[in-house]
Amino acid sequence: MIRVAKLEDVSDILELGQKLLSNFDKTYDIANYIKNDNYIAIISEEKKINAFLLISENASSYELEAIYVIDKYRHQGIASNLIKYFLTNYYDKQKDIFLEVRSDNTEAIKLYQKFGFEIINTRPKYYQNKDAYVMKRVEYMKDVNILSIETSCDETSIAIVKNGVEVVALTILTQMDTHANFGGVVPEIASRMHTENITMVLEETLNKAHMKVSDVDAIAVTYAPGLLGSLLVGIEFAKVLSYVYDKPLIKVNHLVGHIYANKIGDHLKFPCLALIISGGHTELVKMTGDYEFEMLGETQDDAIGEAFDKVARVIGLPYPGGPNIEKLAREGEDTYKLPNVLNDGSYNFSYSGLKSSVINLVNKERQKGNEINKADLACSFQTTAVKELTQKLDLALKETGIKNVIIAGGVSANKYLRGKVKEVCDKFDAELTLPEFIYCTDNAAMIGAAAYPLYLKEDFADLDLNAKSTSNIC
Amino acid sequence: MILFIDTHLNDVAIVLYENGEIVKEKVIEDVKETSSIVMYTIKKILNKSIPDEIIVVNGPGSFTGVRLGVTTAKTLAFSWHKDIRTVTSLECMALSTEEENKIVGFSDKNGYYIGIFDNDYNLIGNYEYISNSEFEEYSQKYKVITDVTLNYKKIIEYVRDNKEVLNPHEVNPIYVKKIAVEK
Repeated sequence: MIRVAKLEDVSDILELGQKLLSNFDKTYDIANYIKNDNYIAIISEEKKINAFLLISENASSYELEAIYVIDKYRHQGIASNLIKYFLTNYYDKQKDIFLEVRSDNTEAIKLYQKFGFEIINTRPKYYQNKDAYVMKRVEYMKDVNILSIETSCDETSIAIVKNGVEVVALTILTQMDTHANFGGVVPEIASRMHTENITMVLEETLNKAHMKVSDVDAIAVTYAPGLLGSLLVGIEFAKVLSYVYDKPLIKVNHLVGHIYANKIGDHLKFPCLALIISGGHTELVKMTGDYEFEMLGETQDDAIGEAFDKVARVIGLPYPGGPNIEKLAREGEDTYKLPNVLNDGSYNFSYSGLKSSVINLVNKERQKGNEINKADLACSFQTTAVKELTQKLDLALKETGIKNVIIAGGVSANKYLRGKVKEVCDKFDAELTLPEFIYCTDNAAMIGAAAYPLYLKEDFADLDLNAKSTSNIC
Repeated sequence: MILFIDTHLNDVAIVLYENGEIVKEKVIEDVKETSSIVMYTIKKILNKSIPDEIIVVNGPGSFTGVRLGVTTAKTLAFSWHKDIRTVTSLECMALSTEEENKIVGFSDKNGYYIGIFDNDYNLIGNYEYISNSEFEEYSQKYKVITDVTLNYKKIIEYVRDNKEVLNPHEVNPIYVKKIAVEK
């Protein structure tokens, strides 16, 4: 937890400061700093302080005096977070910020440069025999452009996303028409088409953005979950770009990408409940901050999208099944009796029972020679399937008291479902955020949005990165 | 300098050719996860230099293996704006044998990829994939060369002198073997 230091923290700060500078207690009168409202942010875990940032302020400028993170907590982006915390919560944009740093402390210099500091002066032999650089912050955080790649299923997509919130360019090449001929996605064909098209999709994206790969700051790619062969094409492609252009490589989880689709336009607010609903996933997740997930509940068997697709097949609707069920359901009524959903007081979901009972019902009626009212069955199924979601969401809103809800994943494109989820949110006065329609289904923009917090933390992948077909977000 | 990439089966070969010689050669046998090592190995072999040309084996062979090599090679060529040419796995075998009748083949456990070449290394007919039992019959009628040590120097020089330079966008694998939905 990051907070501003209080008087009772003085001795702890002095203790850490000694490790930074042997005469720290003589140089900085910490108690006085705190009393005079100078700025000291600390990171503490229960009662222990793990890091601190000391900034003094005068009428026209700030001076970043000291920053220290204990060994065990280094390389986790903690120094970045402290600076970010200051800039977001305390920084008066009218004032300049200065600092001094040893000229051979390249790691610190890199960190400061990331936050827009530039070297403006050198003080020879300032630290015993080493030079010091004087750095001044010339702009608020340099823009970060991330080139992101998504090939986890049957869409070849590449985007350039600025600062995790603004889509500079996005290309999505869908293979849906090809796979429709086979009644579903054929993994081998999906992989083949990714290889055939990926360099062209890159070229188109760069043209739209009027940028070159050398202009971006990092390369991000979906590494899990998804079709292994398809993921591998995107990963290999990303590695080559990372290597040729010497850009950091960032691996992104596809499901986290779906959540961060809400970050585009900066709509993601914490804490929130995220309902992840797709062909492979049905999960209810609590988020307290960037990349801070807690799984509340998940499907015990089939995913909701899978159930939609299977039911569509049974009643003879073409691929893609989900959208076709939704369309047909609009013409029908909820007349068929289907079993009620998992009601065990948990946040877990179950869809195989519902799916089986639809299949059984269809088979029975066919044996009896009865005609099925497809529209009514589609409507009955959709109503029950969505009720499963809304009941659990209702329970979670009641028990957690959280006031922000997001929906993510391909099934979030279902308008009936959106309406029902909105009703539950309204009941609890919670705000529902939906990704823009284009960011609901698989796309690379959401991968770029999800990569941004990892870029700030410098959570980078190596060239031996491999794909994983299954993976949870927490 | 020419970079040669072959990932069509379990062995990964990355070779560097310069001034009439193979200057670096890394063959990693029986690779389990091709993706983990291809780019990493290329990086080590190149050691920061940039080749003038790229040659990639574009199949047939392991679908995923071929795809990784081709994706890597076409993306390198596209990014560096360098010439790229392809050669098939069976051409590589034909180029590496001195025998008169060049019927070459290799197994992927379930069957054999077969190619017949004339003495100028031109393919006669089409590549074929036959089952193990069909191969048994076939190999009684014809002598099939299945065991060759690849002659990278000869392969690279032949491809450089005889194959056309391709647009990286159009460099794609050949698969030969049919998948379930194609049958």
